[in-house]
This record gives sequence, C-alpha cells and structure tokens, in this order.
Amino acid sequence: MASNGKTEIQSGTFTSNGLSHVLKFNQDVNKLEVVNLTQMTLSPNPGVGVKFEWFDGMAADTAIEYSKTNSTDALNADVVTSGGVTKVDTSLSEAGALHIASNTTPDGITAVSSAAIPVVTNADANGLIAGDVVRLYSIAGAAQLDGYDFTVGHNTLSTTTFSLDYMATIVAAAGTFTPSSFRKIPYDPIFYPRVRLITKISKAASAVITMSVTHGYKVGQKVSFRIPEAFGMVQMDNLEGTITAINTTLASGNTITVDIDSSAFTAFAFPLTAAAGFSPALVVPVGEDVSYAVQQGLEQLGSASSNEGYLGLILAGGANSPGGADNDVLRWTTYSSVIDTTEAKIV
Amino acid sequence: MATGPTTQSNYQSAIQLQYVKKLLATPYPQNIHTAPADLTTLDSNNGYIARFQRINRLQTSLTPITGIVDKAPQRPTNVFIDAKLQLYGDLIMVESVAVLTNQDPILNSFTNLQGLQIRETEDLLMRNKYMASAGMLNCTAGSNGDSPTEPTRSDFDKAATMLRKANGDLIAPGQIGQDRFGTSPLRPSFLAMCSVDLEPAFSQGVYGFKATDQYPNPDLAYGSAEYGSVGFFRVLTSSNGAETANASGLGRTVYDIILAAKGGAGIVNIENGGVNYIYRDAITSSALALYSTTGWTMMYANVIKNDQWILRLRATNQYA
Repeated sequence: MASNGKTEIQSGTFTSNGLSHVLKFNQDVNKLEVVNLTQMTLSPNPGVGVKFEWFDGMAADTAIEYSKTNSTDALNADVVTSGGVTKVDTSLSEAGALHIASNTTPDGITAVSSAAIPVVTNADANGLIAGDVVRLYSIAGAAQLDGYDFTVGHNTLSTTTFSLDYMATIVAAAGTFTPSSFRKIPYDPIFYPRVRLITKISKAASAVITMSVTHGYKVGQKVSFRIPEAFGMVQMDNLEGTITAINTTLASGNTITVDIDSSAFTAFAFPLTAAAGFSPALVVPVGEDVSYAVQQGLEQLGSASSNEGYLGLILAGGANSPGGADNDVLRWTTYSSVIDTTEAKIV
Repeated sequence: MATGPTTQSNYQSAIQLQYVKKLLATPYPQNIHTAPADLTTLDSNNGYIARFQRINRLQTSLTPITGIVDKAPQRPTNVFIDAKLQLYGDLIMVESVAVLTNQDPILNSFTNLQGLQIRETEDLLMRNKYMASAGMLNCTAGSNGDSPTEPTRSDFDKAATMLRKANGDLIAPGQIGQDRFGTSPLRPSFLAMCSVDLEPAFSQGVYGFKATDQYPNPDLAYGSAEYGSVGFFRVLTSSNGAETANASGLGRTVYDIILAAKGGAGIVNIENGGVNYIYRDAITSSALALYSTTGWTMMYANVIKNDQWILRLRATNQYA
C-alpha cells in the first residue's frame, strides 16, 4: 500500500486465456504497464500490441497501445478506445446498458426458445462473453423470467444469441417480444456466501438443486430453501440441508446435491408466464456442517462470511489488448501513490 | 479633493469577509442497518474467524412410553456459522502548510469526519451483507403490474408471519396507549429498514401505517430514523437504504426493505482492534515535517446468525 507520499510498485505475471483478465488490488492504482513477453520476442504479421500503458483518469476500456509494425520490431503508439483497461470497484456494481427492442435501439430480445437449455435471441450485438450474468426484463410470452439473473453463454453464444445455461425448459414463448430487454450484471454482491435463485430441483433421495447464476457454494455448507407455492415443491420450503456434492461443469452444471430426500415431494416446476409476479425460489446460505466436514475430510472454514469486494483493473483480452491472446505470457506493473496532484512528480 | 457621500463602494473595508467559525452541519445519513445487529468481540491473538453455534431444538415426545424398552435416543443437531474478520481502513494526509494556514483546526475536523465515516462504513457493510446473503420475498399484493409490486399491508403481514413462524423474537418495545388525540398504542415489533424513497409509499399506500407522531410517545422512537410503524414492524428509513436500479421485472428500481428479528444479525470485532485511530504527526511522518496523517483501521466482520430471522422484502415504488 502506498503511504506517506511514496510510490509503491507491484508487479506480476499471468498467462492469458484470450479473455479478460482481472488484477485485484484493494487499493487505488495510478498507472499500469503491461508487456506481452510472448509477442515481444516475435515479429508478428500483422503486428500486434506488445506493450500497454494506462493511467488513472483514462476512459473505461481504453489504453495506450504500442504495437509492432507488421513483421518488424518497429513500434507504433496509439490510444485504443476499446479493448483496453477498465478500473473497477465491485462494491459499486451497477447494471450495464439496457438492450431493448425499440425503434431507436433495436438490440433487445426478439425470442426465447423452448429448448432444454433456453436460448435468447437478440436483435443486435449483445457484447456478451460466456459466463456473463444477464438480467431479463418484460419478456413477452415468458414473463416468469422478468427480473431474473442468469449465467449465460456456456452452451450457445453469438452476437445475437445466448443460452440461459442453468434455466429449466420454459413453455414456448409466443407473440411479439417488444419491448423485451436485458442488461449485463457485472458483479456479484460483495459478501460471500450469497443467496441464489433456484431454477430446478430434482425428485431424488438426495435432491439436486440447479441455480440460475453460478453458485460458489462448497461441500459441507448448510443451506436452507425458500420454495413459494408457485414452484410446486412446497415440502422443501424452509428445510435445511448439508451440501454433499457440487457440480461446477460450465455448460450443464451449477448444481448442489443436499442430504434431503425429495423423492416423495411434489414436483418442482418453474412457474409459467401467466403466473408472473411471484417470489423466487431460493437457496439461502446458513452455515457450516462441521461434523460432515470432519467426517469427509473437508476444509471447514470455507463458508465463513467474508467480503470479496475488490478494487481492480480489468484487462481486455485479445491480440491487441492488454489481456493478450491465448497462451501469451504477460508481465504487469502497477504504480500507486497517494500524491496525485498537478504539481506532483510521482504518478 | 473628492466630494460627495462616502459609501461602501467608494470606501472599501480592508477585509471584505469574516469567517464564521461555527461550521455548518455535514449531512450524514441515518445508520439504520446495524440497529438489529448484536456485537461480539473476539479475544485478541486468538484467530480471525468468529464461530457461532446454534443447537437445533429437539423434537417433542407426545406419546407415552412403556416401562420396559428405552426409546431410541434423539441425536441433537447443530450448525456452525462463521464470520471472517477483515481489515478495513482509510486515511487523510494533510500538508503541514494546510494545517498552518487554515483558520480551522482542520486535523480535529478531519478526525470528526473519520469517526462519522467509520460508522457509515459499518452501516453499509451490514446493509450489503443483508443484500448478499439474506433470503428475499417479493411484494406481490400491489397493483402496479411489476414484479415486485409496490409494498402493501398484506406483504408486511405475510413477512411478519414468516418471522413469527420461524419463532423470531421482537426487537422494539411497545408503547402503552395514552390519553392523547390522534395516538394509539404501539405493539412490540420487528424492525424494517429501507430507503427514504419509500416513505411516501408507506404514508400513502400501506394500510394501517402509523407515523411516529401518532405514537403515544414519539420521543421513544428510534430518533430521526424512525418513520413510523406498520403491523409488526417499526420502520426505519435512511438515504442509504437498500435499492437496486434496474432490478424489477419491468426494469424499475427495486427497494429492499430489510426485516429483522432479534438476534438475526451480528457484528464481530476483536479486542484492541475494533477501531484504531492512528495519528502520525508531521515530525514522525516526514523528515522535514511536511505532512501528517490521520487514519483508522478496523477489524470487522458481519454475519447473519439466523437465516430465517432476516428477510429482504423487495418492492417497487410508484412514488419515487
């Protein structure tokens, strides 16, 4: 942590997976430098960014890019206005821009399929990547989804489609979808563990629960359930269970298995569009089943309430971005100082 | 020689302004979210995770037993609830020249600001914990066509039933009726904490809402934070009340009304580390005594101690 007017320098290395990379600091950062060690040793044609700089105060998703000229080592400098660096404070999470089907901004939802894993069709570039969380609004013909958050894109993703990865099959939506819309929800609430909304519960000796957004729960945690009448399986309401297994498979997982026998319960059924206006079915974190954790040799402290908020920088992925292309090795250095005035020499 | 009347404009005072040293009030929100939270202090040098235990109640035994065969013994169950202490803090760095030249004792003022900052920080952390981890239900009895709807008495009664069914204890004491026009007795209540934006929704849209001026003794309300009561709830409001933009089914702001029974939430700190105020004068901060710092650190955790005793009642607001 920078203090008393001194500049503090931090640095590190990561290997890119081609996607955005987050550097978490929990302190303010005034300057960032990223060097793409992999590309720096090459003479790429076409040229790619090999060094990036970012200063506090620059617009979101921008950076100064130094790219190698095609097949030569000469550098060109430019400011990129997208695919750069974004400063974040996850305690200040706000929903992203509204994608709404209207005459002025025709990029809202035009359809939701009735496939086993529902697929949403939108009219224009959605800007999503797999794993993003999206909130849906005013879904004509599928109003039961209104206000729900979903992890999307692990099964189907294009500029105009995205899958609701962990949603139950819905009754085929019909009619016009105007003004159906969605927003990207950038961050989880900062405190762990979090409440999650249920989309499916199996009837089984050990009930399997699927949630709409990646859950983050751990084996050995105790959870409780809130099942309103609209969802059918009211016998599960307020029951408390221990998580005995989790499935984190991206495309079809996001489940927890609990030690509750639901085989004789009424079937769980996500409400239909006509039933919209209900309270959601929930998994509510309770605590830790230490006896089970000891018996199973599990880590016992993982469910402790804790603040996972952070200040950080998001480095966009890609060949001409500071997050790099797949398998690129990147070295980053940050500079922090409590002095940041027009007269100061330290940045 | 100049002639004519002498006025302010042709004969200026040497100093045009006079600084009024009585500072204006710094607006601060009501810190309502810690109201239902119990404080636990850990021993120092003894770990950083607070572990709470709840032993679940036994099933009753309603049938007679014979004198020959023992019953199968009941096996009590328990649950542990952990909260990890984490370090929070902030500082202000003050140039010595600023201390020398300001008419105010600015270090004192800044210390006062930081005291208020700490309490607001605690309050928002508690609010955010509710928002992350507490179970929720939507207001559904309103008529605005959204999901959730605007709050109604029916929604509050439903939530009260949930807390009562979970055997939650009431927090706020009641008030006995008095012979005063326009007042009526106040029942012991749970707490409801929400945004000031919802105040018109309460006063104009929630049947049976009672403003604090209708209490037998308004002086016994929770200070300026208490707006009134409805059913089993005393309603505390703050400009820092929970709200989430673009969260309803139709994309409106959703206001979370945090409902709490006694003992549902807790704050944890640590002996000697709850809040530390740290002042470093210029002599020790800088070789040339150029600046001093005033700051604070706080080892803090919060926890929902009973998941059925804290509820988020979600509502939209046609008056916002």
